[in-house]
Amino acid sequence: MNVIVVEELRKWYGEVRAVDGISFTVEGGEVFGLLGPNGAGKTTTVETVIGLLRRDGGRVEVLGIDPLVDPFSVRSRIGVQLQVAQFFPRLTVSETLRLFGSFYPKRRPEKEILNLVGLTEKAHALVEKLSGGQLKRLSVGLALVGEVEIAFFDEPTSGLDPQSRRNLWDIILTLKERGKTVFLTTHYLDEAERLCDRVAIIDRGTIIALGKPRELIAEYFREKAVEIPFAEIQNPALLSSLPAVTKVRTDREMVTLYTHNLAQTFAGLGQLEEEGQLSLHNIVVREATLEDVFLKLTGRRIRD
Amino acid sequence: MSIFWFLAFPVLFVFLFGIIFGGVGRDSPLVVSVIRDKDIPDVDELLFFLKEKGNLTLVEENLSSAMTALRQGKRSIVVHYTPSGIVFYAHPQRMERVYMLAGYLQSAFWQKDFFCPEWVPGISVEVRAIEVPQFRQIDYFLPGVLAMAVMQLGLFGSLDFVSLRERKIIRQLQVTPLRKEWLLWSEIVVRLVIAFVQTAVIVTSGWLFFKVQVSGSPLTLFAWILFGACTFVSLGYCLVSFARTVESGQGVIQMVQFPMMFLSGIFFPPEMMPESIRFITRLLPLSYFGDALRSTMVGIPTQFGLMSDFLVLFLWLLGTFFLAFRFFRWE
Repeated sequence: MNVIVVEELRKWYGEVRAVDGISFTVEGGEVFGLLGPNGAGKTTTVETVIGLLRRDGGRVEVLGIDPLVDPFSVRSRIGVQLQVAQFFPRLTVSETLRLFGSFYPKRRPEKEILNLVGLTEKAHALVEKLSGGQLKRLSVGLALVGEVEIAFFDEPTSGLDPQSRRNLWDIILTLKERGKTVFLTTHYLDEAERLCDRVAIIDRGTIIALGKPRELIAEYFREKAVEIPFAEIQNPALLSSLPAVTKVRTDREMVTLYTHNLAQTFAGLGQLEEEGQLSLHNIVVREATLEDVFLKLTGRRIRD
Repeated sequence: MSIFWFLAFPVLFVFLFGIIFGGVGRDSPLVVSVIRDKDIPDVDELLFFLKEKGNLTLVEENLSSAMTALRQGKRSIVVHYTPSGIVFYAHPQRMERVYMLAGYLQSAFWQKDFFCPEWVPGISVEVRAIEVPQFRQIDYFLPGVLAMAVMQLGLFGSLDFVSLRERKIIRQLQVTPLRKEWLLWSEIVVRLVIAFVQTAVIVTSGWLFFKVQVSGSPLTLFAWILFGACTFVSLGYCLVSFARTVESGQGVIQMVQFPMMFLSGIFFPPEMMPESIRFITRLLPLSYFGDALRSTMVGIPTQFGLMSDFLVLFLWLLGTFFLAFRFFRWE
């Protein structure tokens, strides 16, 4: 059953087409990710789907309701963590949870949320005194304080330390276990691959790929990637003539070779090393990732 | 440009009503009531002579309405033709003119007497000051201070919302099921409560330190406070509809509240202001609010009449509410 339906969504800011004809659906109980670089239109998409922004065209239905037609019903059943979190600075964490909880028809106990996001010790701290990471966790907590059916997260782990990131991933997976639907946006590949049942890759306002992460990789990438730091190579042009190499990509930091036969390519690399053309010292071999998919589809890295 | 309309539109509105309700309360020429309980043609002659010269306006009415109008400041002099003579009445603080008028009359009689021996005078001329309750400076001042406090509360209070809007906290609330209006209503309720507290504090300190007696009923006072607070709160939100930051909101509010403070007759009565500025008093809502509070709290006679006070404030309330409703921005 589709809990979110988006059809030909359009949002323009004057001449800029932030979202230009996006379509996708989200099933109940799945974790759906919107992956893309900064400025791709992820935040605009989320905010338009929940009805915070007015869309310029297309159809949106959340739990069967158009958020522009009946915002109240939609907001009672969804929780939202915005990318930019701003709360009443002179309330405590506890008070904020209670305040926001009071807006929803059903709410989870304050202690439970504090525990969930790891802010129990900070329960009586003023919001204005929280660190960036703590604010983010509060933001996530507030998205979950009403007993919501869908949770929307806009870049939930950006700016967090690795431990907090992992904690948050656990929270999201727990939500899924409880049968909730999660819609998140991210520019982290590991996050998308690890958490999402399905992922839509977005770039410059359009979706360029959509599917299960493994399937996308398999579809676009049957190869392995060999990364050589740029500094170690004398003559990059030689690399394309190596055996089994399908593509060579060069950027500032490194040269990436894509090969369908690792052994053959390595033999060739070994030879070049003997000739003094490069060093295999810092070479990295890896499986293809969504980054490679993105790179293949757009010619750019997500991280740029 | 829209700021201009926010200020100009309601102001024009009020200007019209100010004129309608203001009556002829202006000072020169003199407004003189004439009550003829007896016919005394010589006095008529004098008065009409002066009227022709353009120095006074004559109003014919009965004694009680003339005296009421005199107390309210709507008449400068009351001339009562009685069987025993002429009686002039005037406000104790404005006796110069009536002495002048009586003086003219006296000298006219002497001249007539001198030149027309057959004319029998036997008409006495008397000048009396009417009794007015004495008010101290503080009696005038205190309700004005309260009015000003409520005004500032309403106007500056709206900056709370601007602050929330500027810091994008409003946005955060917009993704929750909280209905937008409830946020505003909660702010307004808080402000009204504060207005009542202000009233209690100011009235109590006035009574404690300056022995200012509240002569009106507390209920009426609170009703006026409630009404005035609503009006100024509405004006406050109206003014900051477009303000992006607290700073710019403050700017707009200062621009409005500063002249209001000085030109609304709070610190000194309008009579002390130069003629040319005095008409602005009629345009400002605070003038009417202060007037109503002075009358309700300490019994100072109203400048415009309580009905006008109510109507003008009501129009400001409606006008600003409508404008705020139309133009208010949540982001």
